[in-house]
Amino acid sequence: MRWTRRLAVRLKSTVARGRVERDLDAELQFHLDQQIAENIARGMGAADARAAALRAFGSVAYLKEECRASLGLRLVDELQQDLRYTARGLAKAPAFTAIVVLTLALGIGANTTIFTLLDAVVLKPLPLPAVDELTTFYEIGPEGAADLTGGTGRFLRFSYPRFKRLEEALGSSGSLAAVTRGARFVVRLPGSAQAQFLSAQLVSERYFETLGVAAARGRTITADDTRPGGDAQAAVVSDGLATRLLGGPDAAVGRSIAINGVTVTVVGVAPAGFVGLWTDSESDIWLPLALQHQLHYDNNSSSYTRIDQDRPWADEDAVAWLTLVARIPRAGRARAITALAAANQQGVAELASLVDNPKSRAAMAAHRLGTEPFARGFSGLRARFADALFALAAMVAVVLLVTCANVANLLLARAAGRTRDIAIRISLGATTGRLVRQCLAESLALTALGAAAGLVLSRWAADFLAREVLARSGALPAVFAVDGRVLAFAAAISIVTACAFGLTPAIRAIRAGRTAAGSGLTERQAIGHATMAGMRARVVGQLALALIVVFAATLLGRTLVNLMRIDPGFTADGLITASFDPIVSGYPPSDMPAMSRRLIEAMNAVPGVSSAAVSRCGLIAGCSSSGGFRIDGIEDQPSLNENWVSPRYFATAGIPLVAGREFVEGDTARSVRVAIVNETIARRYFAGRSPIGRRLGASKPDVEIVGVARDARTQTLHDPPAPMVYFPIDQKPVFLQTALTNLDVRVAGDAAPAVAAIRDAIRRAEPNLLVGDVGPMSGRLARDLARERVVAWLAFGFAGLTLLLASLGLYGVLSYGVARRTQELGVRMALGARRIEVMRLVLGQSAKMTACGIALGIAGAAASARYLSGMLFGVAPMDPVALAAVSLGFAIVSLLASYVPARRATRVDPIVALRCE
Amino acid sequence: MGKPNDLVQGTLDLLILKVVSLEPKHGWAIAKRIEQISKDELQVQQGSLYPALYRLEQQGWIKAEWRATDGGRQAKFYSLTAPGRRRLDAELANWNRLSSAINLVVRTT
Repeated sequence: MRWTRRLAVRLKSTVARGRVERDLDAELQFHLDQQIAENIARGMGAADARAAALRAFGSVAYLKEECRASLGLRLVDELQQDLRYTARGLAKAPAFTAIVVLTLALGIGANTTIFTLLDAVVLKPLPLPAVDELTTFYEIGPEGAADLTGGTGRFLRFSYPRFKRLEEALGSSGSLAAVTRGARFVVRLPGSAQAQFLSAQLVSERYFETLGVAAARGRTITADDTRPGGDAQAAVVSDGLATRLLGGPDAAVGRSIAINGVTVTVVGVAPAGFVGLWTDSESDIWLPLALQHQLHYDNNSSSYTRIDQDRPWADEDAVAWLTLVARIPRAGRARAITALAAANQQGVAELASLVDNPKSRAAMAAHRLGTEPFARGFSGLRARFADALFALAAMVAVVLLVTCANVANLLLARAAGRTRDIAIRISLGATTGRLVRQCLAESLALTALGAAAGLVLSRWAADFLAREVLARSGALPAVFAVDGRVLAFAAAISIVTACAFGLTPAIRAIRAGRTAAGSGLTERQAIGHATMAGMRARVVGQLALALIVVFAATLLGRTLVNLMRIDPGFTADGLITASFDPIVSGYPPSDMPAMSRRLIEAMNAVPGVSSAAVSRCGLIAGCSSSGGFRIDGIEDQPSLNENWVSPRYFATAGIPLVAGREFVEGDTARSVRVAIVNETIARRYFAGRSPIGRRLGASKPDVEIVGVARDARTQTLHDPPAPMVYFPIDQKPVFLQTALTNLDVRVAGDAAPAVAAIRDAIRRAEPNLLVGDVGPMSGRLARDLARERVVAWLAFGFAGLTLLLASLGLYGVLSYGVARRTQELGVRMALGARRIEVMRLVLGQSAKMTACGIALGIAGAAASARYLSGMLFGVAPMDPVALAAVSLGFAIVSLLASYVPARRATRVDPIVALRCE
Repeated sequence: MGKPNDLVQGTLDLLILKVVSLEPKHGWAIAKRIEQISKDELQVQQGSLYPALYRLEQQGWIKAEWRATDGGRQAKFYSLTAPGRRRLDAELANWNRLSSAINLVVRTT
């Protein structure tokens, strides 16, 4: 523990500096006085005694300095000196300081911003205790394993009976919990007439226990609450909801709220910051699984057979709707997972025996249990943005590199002006370590200023991006704050940055100073050829890195343009859409056809509306429905996307019919059942012959195909059209009626001005209908491309920044070179060199650097472009046109950057140049 | 008697620790005591004494406090701490080993 004591003494002496100095003075004075007294006692005169004592003492200043060194104070003194010296130096060069600090602020700020997003979206573990004990489960289908986020081959959800079976198999070796994905529920607070949509999840009894979270107030959901068929109606609410709407966490417990028409009692409040398993969407309410049927919860499920919608899912082994998560201590994990896999295998075998179709049965039976560590939770945001954020992180790292190179060159040029200063210090006995420390103090001070400004910048930028981009793309980042991790990151990159750009100039300056100290050379002569070569190499590096970033930005920009220009297969202009939810608004399924007729009539009465239609799923609305179909004359049972639409849907959406007819008012429950297929189905299953008149259907082919619609990108602009079959809503059997969720309205001319009138008309026609998101189709398309847009714009921003920095670097080094060669240029001119030749000299140098930079940059781009390929659309990673354009652009920019120094070189006056030495 | 001996490097610490081990002393008294016991054979330079005192204090082997001297003046008195006593024992053992080793070599050859 000696070092703690030493530290304490050092701290005390640093903090109480004045006292330490006074003590030292008093102690030495005491010693001196004793010596004088002794000398007098020996018979000396007072003056002699004093002189002799002082002589014996030697240099008091030196002695005191030695004592301070013993206390460890010298380092502190020197640091203070360095900082004071640095502050004075920087204050004397405000332009230099401002440029360096601004450059560093941009570099560090950009990195911190992207890191903040990357950390929140991709890296940060769930804020739960012992997250490494958590495991999540999925089934691997016969197609093989794929992405956890729901790619093909992985089945992420389980049925309730399967959950109970696995829970039993796990026994006491851990705890297993089931939870649904967050979904929107209609919530009415007591005493409030207005209902609102809030996100809620259904959870099993041990959900909170498994995650290791206790209620902040009240209790969590218990076994009594979650027993299917039980009547306990309890809810746990989030801290945010309790504070926002229920009068604070303390007042919230015990209050009743109505959720989808079911009245529940708030039994507890979750701790603030609890996000559950999905880091990108905040849940407001947690309800027992037992309430599934009463709440009409039917989101995020898949069923392996056709099921009866009226039965609670707790009894259905064929409906997979639960995400499972287990906490299993490391010791028994392997054994527990083996037991779980075995239990799951039994469940799979039993379920497969219920499947009729032999092919589906074999596929079902091949399912195996998969597990995955779960420290970071689920995140749709991560799935969507991880690639993009890593790409952006690489770009900002390059920005920082270029920044460092620039600042290093600036410092070198500045150090040249200090050679004499350093030479004098070396002559006076300054050690190399001391000089390096002093130079580093300057870079650290600059970086500290830059980092402070960068942090302010990044706080603002990260907030802006989170709000404008991530939140708008449909999900809300819940764990999002500038915290210790971000600060630590910023500090780490700042220190690395300071050393990266500070060390070389420091060493160069000292070496030059030493040379100058020995020989009396001038600064210009002392900054050697090697230093200039180093500066040029850094400029080449900057140009190469900038080219890589600019090229990447070009590819991403072209991706965005390609996606924006893509023909979605429907006419987005003049289309207004609205989403609504009749079931949770209280409409019985049997009212669906009447409600849709009323809505369409109301729309048609609005001036300017040319047609209107409703559908089960809207275009680019994140809604899809699919099922297995039998097609007349085809052996296979393909899985097709389906949509239920009203008459005139195709005219309204602007999807042209290639053959046959549109649905009309006459297609009712009493008429012949009809369907319209898209071109993909026609091509794939009817081999070029007309499908019109042929039949298909869910259980048997009994629906007649009356039309072929053009292929359209109905889900997202990113994916090519899928096989799609449309049915008229009036022919959907009443017992199978599910919610219509979308209204499309086509107006003549511009869509935006008509939005308000349409919103009013909907409200007047159906006052009880919960409607959200009324707006032009262009809004949905923009949301669909949010990722590409933000990535492209950020990439362009970073590309512009690197290009600017690199051209500034080129400009700086050329200018410095011209300044250094003033004398030589003067001699050349005096000897008759023409201006154009002098100009060629400078431009030639610039051209050499640029050519090297471009060549290196192309090599770098080739090496790095493949990492981007997953994010590109309609453009090759090594697109030659883009590469040529970027290289040409670089040549032009470099020419512009070198023009001013080149001109300055031609303006050198031989007389002045020769006199200045 | 020739010139007083310069202290062997590192032995000053040992002497200081030994001298302050008996009772707290101020710097002047420490120097005088060393000279007196060694019959003026060992001279302690102020230039070495005070940095050594500060170093030992920083190491935590001695501690200092301001107190009145017999003459009524305030002076800084140094005394041994518990770790200082352990250090002194170790240094003494070391010194004994070293000096007897040197004695052996000097006498036998």
